[in-house]
Amino acid sequence: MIISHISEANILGKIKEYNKIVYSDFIILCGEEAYIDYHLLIALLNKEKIKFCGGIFPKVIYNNECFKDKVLLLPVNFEQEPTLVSGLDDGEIQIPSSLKSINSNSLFILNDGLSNWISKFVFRLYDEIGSDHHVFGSGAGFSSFKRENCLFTHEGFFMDAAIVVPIKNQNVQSTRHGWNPIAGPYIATKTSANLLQEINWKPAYVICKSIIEEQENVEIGTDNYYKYAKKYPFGIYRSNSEYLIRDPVSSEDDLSIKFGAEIPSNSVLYLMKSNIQDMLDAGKIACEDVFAKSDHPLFMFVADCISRTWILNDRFNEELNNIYQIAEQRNIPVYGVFSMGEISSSNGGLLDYHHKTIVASIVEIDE
Amino acid sequence: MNENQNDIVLTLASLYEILLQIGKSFDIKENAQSFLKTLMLQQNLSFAGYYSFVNSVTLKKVFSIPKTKFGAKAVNPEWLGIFSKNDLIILDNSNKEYQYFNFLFDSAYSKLAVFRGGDKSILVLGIKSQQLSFTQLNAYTLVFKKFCFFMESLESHNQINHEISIKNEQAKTIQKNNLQLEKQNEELRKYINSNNELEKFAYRTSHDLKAPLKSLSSFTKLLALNSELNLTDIQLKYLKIIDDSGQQMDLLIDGILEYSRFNESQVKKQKVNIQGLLEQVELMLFDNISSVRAQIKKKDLPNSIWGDETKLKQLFLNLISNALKFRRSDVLPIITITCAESTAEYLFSVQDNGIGMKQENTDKIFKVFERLNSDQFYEGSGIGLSTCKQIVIQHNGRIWVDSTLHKGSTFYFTISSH
Repeated sequence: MIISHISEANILGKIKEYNKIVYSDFIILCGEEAYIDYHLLIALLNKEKIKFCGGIFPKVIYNNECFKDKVLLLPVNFEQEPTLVSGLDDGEIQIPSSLKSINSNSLFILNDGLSNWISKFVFRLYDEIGSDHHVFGSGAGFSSFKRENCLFTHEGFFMDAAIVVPIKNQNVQSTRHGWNPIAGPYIATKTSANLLQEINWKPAYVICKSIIEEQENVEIGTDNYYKYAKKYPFGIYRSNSEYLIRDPVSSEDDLSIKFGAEIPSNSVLYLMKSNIQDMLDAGKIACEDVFAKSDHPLFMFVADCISRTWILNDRFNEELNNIYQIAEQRNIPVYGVFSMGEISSSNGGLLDYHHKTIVASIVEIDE
Repeated sequence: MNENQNDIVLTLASLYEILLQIGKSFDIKENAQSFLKTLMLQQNLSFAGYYSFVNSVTLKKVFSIPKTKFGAKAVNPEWLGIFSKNDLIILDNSNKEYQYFNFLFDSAYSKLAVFRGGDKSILVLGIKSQQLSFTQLNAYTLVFKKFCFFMESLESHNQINHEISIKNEQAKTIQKNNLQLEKQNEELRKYINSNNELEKFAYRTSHDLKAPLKSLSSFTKLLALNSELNLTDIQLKYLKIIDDSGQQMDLLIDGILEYSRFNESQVKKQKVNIQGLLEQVELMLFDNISSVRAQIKKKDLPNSIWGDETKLKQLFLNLISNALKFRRSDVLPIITITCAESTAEYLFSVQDNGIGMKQENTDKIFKVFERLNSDQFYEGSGIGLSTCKQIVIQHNGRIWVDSTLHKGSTFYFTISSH
């Protein structure tokens, strides 16, 4: 359900209206310009004893359109109350005991997309909950990269945290990015959390710069680094699977490169490149693939990385149309967000945190 | 680089990444976590676990990702046979051997890779998705061997360290107990010293107090007898109170002196003729006994016992004196002294038909200066029974009383027969 006329009371009204037809809990996804008093919204929902959690995103997707000033309500049935996991700022992540023995094998996660230790959180969660869960989720945050509260539950309004919600509805996912290696393999010989300091024992920036200059035929400096580097992410090598994409954010004075998530020390890396068509195809394949896995779809949820939308730019509408056409054939709605990183367990192995990737999920009817 | 060269470089880079995780930490779990996590991320695995043998047929989990509940479990001995050809085996859930490993985790995996690391450990890797495969694990055989060897070394090193730490812990406990014992001994020694000092102090003080008290008594008497002073009746009454108080104090000081003397003096054990000793006591108390027409009965007494004659004499003297002192006015005092003999000790009893006491007071009376009855009716220092207790203790015995108010008391004490 999409809400266009934004007020806290209207959101509450829509939830109550929906619950008259079929009772539900709600994931509330808000565009960054929806301008909601979140403390008031939390208080109103708590007063009405509505179970909910939510996040703020650069834009929300509804069918084949995207909005920065609207709100999506995703009706799902929570297995238990949403659980807040803190410590994503300093890496001191403790998985609450309530998540160590959950009945449902379907989980939805919202996390602060600009926290330092998201990969670590995802791995710690996997270590605790095991391999039997289907997990989908998305990084929340603002397109300006401004650090502000971007997650909310009945407990309050947060940043540097993650919300984990076991849900009764089953889910299936498919993950694609469309990036291909153009240089490598390299060994990340010196890293520090989000910083890639050296590859093959040489400053990371120096190696990247020379390859991008050759590809783009321009001279790269610190002033124009990101303009070109955003089209050349790194891919962490995964045997049997797609490369795990890591998005460069900036170059640092010590010739290292800062990324949106951790780069494991000594990991095998490739420099990646894509073209518009490959990226659009990747989105389409992800959606077709996820429908092939689904039996009783309730709705589709798409986490499309914000940096993908920047690269697709004018052609992003094609991506939305591709997705919508596939969903329309099954007569189900498409909900989604411009995400700040994507979480999925769709590769059949570990729970992963992605960049520049599209994760298409189908949430099934709770039977 | 052509495609083949690229594959070789990729394999080498992947091996390099994994290899560097071995020995990153000397903590077993940290080392296992670092290695298994990297292997899982690189190979897109759903499960990685390292198990070691407790004995030839029992495995225990050392570390796994994700965590699984697993204690030490016995395995089917047949399963070791499947390693006869290779150290690394790949199984999918259609293989009958799959079941040998399926019990190791809480989840089902579509494919398993199992590596045998020598005789002491195995490494198990799992994939959840049917679409995935173990494409290049054969290249990792040497790396797995190195990892297992390192883990086994850490385990045996930790086992030795554990044993050493248990022994160190035991040594520390013994040392701690010894120190505590020494401390307690020191406290006891100080206590004994201070007690001895106190007794010496009491003896000296009592002795020194006697002289001025004597002067006080003498001059009070002189004052009362001096007719030239023409003292009034009330003045004479006051002088009498002073004299009586002086005498009471004299008694107290005598008691303290006696108590101190008995504590200070050594026990000189010898063969003591009890019959003879009691006759001497009766002689000493002859005036008292005859004035109240008391009857002293003696039954089943041994001929002789080992003890300090002087102290034992004092013991009987005090007990019989008390029996005479706390007599009832309506009956003639009868004091019965008996003895029962066991292999280790003599149990004496001194029974009277006196005023007795309440049961709740029977413990108090052996304390110094503890008196149950008023000075007005019964003079005394309140030290006699404390002295008795000291004498009995010096003879490795015990003393207690059984008493009924208005009916009489029986004092029991034991004297070691050795």
